[in-house]
Amino acid sequence: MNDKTFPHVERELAQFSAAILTEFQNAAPVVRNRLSSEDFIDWAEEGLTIAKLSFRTWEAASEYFKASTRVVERLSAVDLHSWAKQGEMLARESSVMASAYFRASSETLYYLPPQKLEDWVRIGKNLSRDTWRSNSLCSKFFESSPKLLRYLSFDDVEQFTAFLKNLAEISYDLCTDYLDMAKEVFPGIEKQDRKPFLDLAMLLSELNLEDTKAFFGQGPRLLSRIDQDERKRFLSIVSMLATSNGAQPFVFLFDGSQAMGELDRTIHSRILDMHQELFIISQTASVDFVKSAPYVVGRIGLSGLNHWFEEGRSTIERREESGEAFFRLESAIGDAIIERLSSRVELEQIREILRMYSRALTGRNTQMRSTEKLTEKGIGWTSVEMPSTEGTAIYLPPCIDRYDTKEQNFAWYKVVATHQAGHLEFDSFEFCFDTEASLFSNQRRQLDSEMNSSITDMERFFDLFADRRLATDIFAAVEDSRVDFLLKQEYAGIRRSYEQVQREALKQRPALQTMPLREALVEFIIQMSLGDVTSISFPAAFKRELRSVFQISNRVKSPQATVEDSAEATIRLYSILIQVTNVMYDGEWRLIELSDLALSDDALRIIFEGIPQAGIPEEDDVVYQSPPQVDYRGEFKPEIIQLLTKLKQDNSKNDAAPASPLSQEELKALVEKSVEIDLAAMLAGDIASSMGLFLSNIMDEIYQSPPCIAEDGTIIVDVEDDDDDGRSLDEELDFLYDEWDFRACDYKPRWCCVREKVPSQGSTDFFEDTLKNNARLAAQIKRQFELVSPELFKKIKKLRDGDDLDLDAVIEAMVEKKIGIPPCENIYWRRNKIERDVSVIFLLDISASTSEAIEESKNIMYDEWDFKDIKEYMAWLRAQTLERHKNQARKIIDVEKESLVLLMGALETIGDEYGIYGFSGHGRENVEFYVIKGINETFSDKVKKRIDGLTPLHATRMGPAIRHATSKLAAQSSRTKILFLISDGRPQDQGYGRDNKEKDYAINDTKMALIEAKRKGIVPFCLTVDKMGQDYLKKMCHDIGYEVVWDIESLPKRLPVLYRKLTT
Amino acid sequence: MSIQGTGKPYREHIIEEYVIQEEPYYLPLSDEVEVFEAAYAQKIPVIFKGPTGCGKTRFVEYMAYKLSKPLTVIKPADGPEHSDQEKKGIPLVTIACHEDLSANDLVGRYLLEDESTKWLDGPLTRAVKAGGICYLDEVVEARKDTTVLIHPLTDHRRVLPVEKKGQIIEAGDGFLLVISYNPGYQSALKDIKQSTRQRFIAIEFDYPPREAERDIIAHESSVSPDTAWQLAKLGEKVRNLKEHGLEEGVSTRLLIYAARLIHQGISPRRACQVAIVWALADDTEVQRSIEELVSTIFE
Repeated sequence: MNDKTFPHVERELAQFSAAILTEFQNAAPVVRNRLSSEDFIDWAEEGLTIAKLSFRTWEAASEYFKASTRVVERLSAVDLHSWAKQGEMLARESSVMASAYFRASSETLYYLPPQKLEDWVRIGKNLSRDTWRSNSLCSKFFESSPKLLRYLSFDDVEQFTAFLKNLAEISYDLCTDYLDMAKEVFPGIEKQDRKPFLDLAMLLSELNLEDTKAFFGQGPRLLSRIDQDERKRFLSIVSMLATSNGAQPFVFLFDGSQAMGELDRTIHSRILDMHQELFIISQTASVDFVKSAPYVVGRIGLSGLNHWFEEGRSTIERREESGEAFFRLESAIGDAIIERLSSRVELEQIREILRMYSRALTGRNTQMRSTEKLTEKGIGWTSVEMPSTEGTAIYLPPCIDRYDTKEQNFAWYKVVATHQAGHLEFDSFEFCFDTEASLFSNQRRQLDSEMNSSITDMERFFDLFADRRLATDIFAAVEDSRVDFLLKQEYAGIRRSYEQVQREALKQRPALQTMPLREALVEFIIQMSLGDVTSISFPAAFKRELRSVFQISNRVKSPQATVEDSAEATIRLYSILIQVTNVMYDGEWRLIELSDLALSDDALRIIFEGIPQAGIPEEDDVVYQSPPQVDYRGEFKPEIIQLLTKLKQDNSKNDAAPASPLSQEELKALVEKSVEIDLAAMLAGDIASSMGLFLSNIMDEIYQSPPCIAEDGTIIVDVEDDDDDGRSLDEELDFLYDEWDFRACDYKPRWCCVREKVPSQGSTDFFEDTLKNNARLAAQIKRQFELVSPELFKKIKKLRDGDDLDLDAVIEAMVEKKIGIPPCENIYWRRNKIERDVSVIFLLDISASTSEAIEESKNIMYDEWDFKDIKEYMAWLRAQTLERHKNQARKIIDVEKESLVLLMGALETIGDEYGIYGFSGHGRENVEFYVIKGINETFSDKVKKRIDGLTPLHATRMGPAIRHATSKLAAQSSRTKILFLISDGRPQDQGYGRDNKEKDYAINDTKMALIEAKRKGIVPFCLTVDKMGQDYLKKMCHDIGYEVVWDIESLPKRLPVLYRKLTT
Repeated sequence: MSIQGTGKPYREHIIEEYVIQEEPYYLPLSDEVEVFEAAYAQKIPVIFKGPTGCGKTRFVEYMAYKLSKPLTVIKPADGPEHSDQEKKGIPLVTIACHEDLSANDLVGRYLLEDESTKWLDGPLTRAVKAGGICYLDEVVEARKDTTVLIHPLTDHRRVLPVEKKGQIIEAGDGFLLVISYNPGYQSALKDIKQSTRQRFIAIEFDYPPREAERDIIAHESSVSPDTAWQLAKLGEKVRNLKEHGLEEGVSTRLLIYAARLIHQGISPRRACQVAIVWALADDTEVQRSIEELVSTIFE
């Protein structure tokens, strides 16, 4: 080796920077070892060349030296040379690029064969465009290369780079982001999926950059949701969507993969098959199909899905729009199919049936409610799964899907409801401490202490026991057993399904061997109550106890047994059980035939009549725990129910002093004592604050609904919150209605939510003033209406039968007879009283447009939909309204209101039943429906005030408002029912149509709503003050009466005339 | 009405000739028999209050028989010829009132006959003349003008004015007006006015308790006491639904119909479905809930 070159190189390098010299000096020994001296000189010269290239290339050279120490290990001298040359080439373009190249080299070469080196540089350099930004991207590429090559083949990287290059034309930042993400993304994607994934990303980037980026970033997560074998197909579907349609591929990517993730992986292939089948027919539907699949499979299983799919496909072949709505799950037909195929039974659907059923059984008002409602109350119940009752209502799980058929699921519901009703029917909660039992001697009194200060009888009873939990469990088991027995005894028809449910419950019970002895005995009582257990495995040493338990708990299975018998049995069972040590028994368990447990009558009498030894609780090895609840019986809480009933009763008695008859302390003591309330399970947080919350919940429960005494003396508390009566004014009622989609020719099920409210009240001045200012018109209208009434008594002539002979008819008949033609037999008259029997609802459009001033609307002839969207329109309107407020101009709504005031006077005269409602709303979830005067409400000052309180609000979604009014009218018994719609323009609302410009959808839905009304025997009539109304009213009303009032000022005069015409 | 020994497939009765031969079955639940006998003796008109099918009509038939009087039934509109009264005793004239029933229908009217008119007595006039018990069933259904007739008949005057003929008819000795109404499902409009109702004493009827109803069902249909018991139980439970889906509880009459179908071999569930469930309600939810009740009680 030629040493002299060293100082030469070093000297030259030193001119650039001290740093580069150091790098060279560090690297030289390492490189020298690997290379021949010629090559070594080449190497050093190359570095120098690079450093000399331009102003800052010495930095690249510095990196060159630094990297060489590693690279030299991987490359032959030839390759090293070409490596250096490549670097030099890059350095000519940019020092930064070359630096990055050198820095990344050693690691990259770990994954890259040397012969590919050139290609690598080529694709990297491809990214550069001679600009600063592109150079930095290129550098970034080199830096990222090791990570990329670790997971991707070189070809893949090349493709990815091509992708980046395309992207670079749009944004360099984006490319940098991608490069950053790539390191994270590619490791998460299976090797064979990477290429399709990249292909897709490339394809998608032409459509939407943001979404593509999201797709790229979330790639691994998206793909991991899909079955491994189907990922490729999934991606190819997306690219198919991408090449054919702009908007859908991303929806499918994100929502579709989400949906697939919710499905079982084994059916992914089938789902994609179906998707492809649909794809040919409708892309939209195929995407929606995948999105809907998890719901459908959840409801009706895979076989159901096939059926549903076939139905949907034939629907789509008939009519594309219908089919699309079908797969979007926005079709009544689709709903019906799912409902038919589903075996699930929802409480909501059968609630009324079960309510009446249990009302019939118990003779009490029992609401059927979802268990969710009970736990929400926070008064001691915690389980959403378990049925229960709190004395006034029966709580059932919201839906049941235990069996394969609807019938079986319903049968389960019925058994559960019957059991809960049984508690009410057979007086489980009417326990009275002093009432004699019928099958046992009364021992409660003997055990009772003098000092007892309990609130309820149940509490007093449980106070007898040291181990309250044990006593409660025994009592529950015995009482359930008694109720089940009585139910099966009394109702032969339900016996079979009842026993079926019991057998299933029995199967789920734990084996006695797995429990400590005392718990095993409680479990034994429960299992015996569930059916005819014939033999049981039990320690032979405890046969005596088993015998007594068996006999006592069987005793309550008698038609005469009362709740007091259950209590007496509890006392006896408790005294036996408390003496059994609660330990796991590891002695011999023997199968004991229960028939062996029979006793002579004398022995039985001792058990039933005798005084049990006051048991001293044994020292337990295992803390006693309640056995699991029986699913169909759910939670049984007699103590708290008695408390609630008592508090409610007391509350209703002293109305004057609504303060609780109990002090908080007393109540607290009871709650702490009772094992029925598990505060820790119920409410999170420390016990002290939970207790406070619990007590206040209890108080709410008591005061929330004033109880009333039913005919039979039972306390009924009507806590029905979806009941029309007795609600406070500001409360809101929600109703769901379908909406007609004319394209799909089908209803969108439960699409719109109508919210019924009472408007804010103004003063009665408006009403009075209107009457005063229009005194002449008012009198005129009234006179016209008074004329209506007498016409109703008509003497009807020429009847076959009647009050008396009609002289004219008799003479005619005689004449006819004389001339020999058969005489007319209709010779009687009758005074027929046709009672006017009319119900009418006035449905008033109070959308924002009614705030338009009359003068202006006369001049400006614009279409509301000249505005791009509803928001813009609203903003414009608001501005207009403000303006007008200053001018005090009369608005459309003022005239509407005036007309109503005048008409109301007339309606009161002739005594028609009438309701006045206003509607507006924004979006399908918020159709506001204001009750100005309910149809069954009497006219009062309140109504007057509400009229004044009416103000223009939002948009006009007519369909649901009409449907709601229709349902109100349908409930009326009148012979003539009229729905009078007063509007100021076409129906329009957000989403009331495919886009905001679309008018046909809204008009068709309104039309359908009017037709529905007609089908229900209601006469709809539309009146509009919109001069443009002629065109759409004609379409909307079809063969339904309508009128356009040209001069809005004439409305007050016109409305009564129209009404009179309509009803006579 | 069985037809024995006549050639015709039906039997025609002139008002006074129709006499119930056998004692109607009636199970007294309280002292209603004594009260009615006393009222009859004292000529005090009686109102029967109670739901449909609980035995009001049966009771009046039973009382007519018990008072050892022949029982005669005619319907208001089909009075063909007026024939002479021969039989002694007090006929029972039952008139089912409906909303088109007017005073004329009760009193009578002129008919055309040949060249002249002929007066025809209405059923009320006949009962007044014959001195029988006139039973106006569901009286609130009739037109308001009928009360004009009822008033003079039910106080000390005991007369029937026949306006068109310009006559006043004094009631026969045995005449008694009995009206029935069901306070349950009448709307406020159709309530009986105080001035009318305060002319009557009232006997209240209700569905019999379970045991009595079992006996009634068993007697009327010949089913086993056990089946009758189940039906009585069903009746009691369904009546809990009154005003909770049902306007009216199930009548004893319907329970008997069901029992008769069962006796004829129809399965109990099916018999209850046709005789009770479908007869009582049209609303599917109500129907379903009663049906569930039936399937809970009957196997």
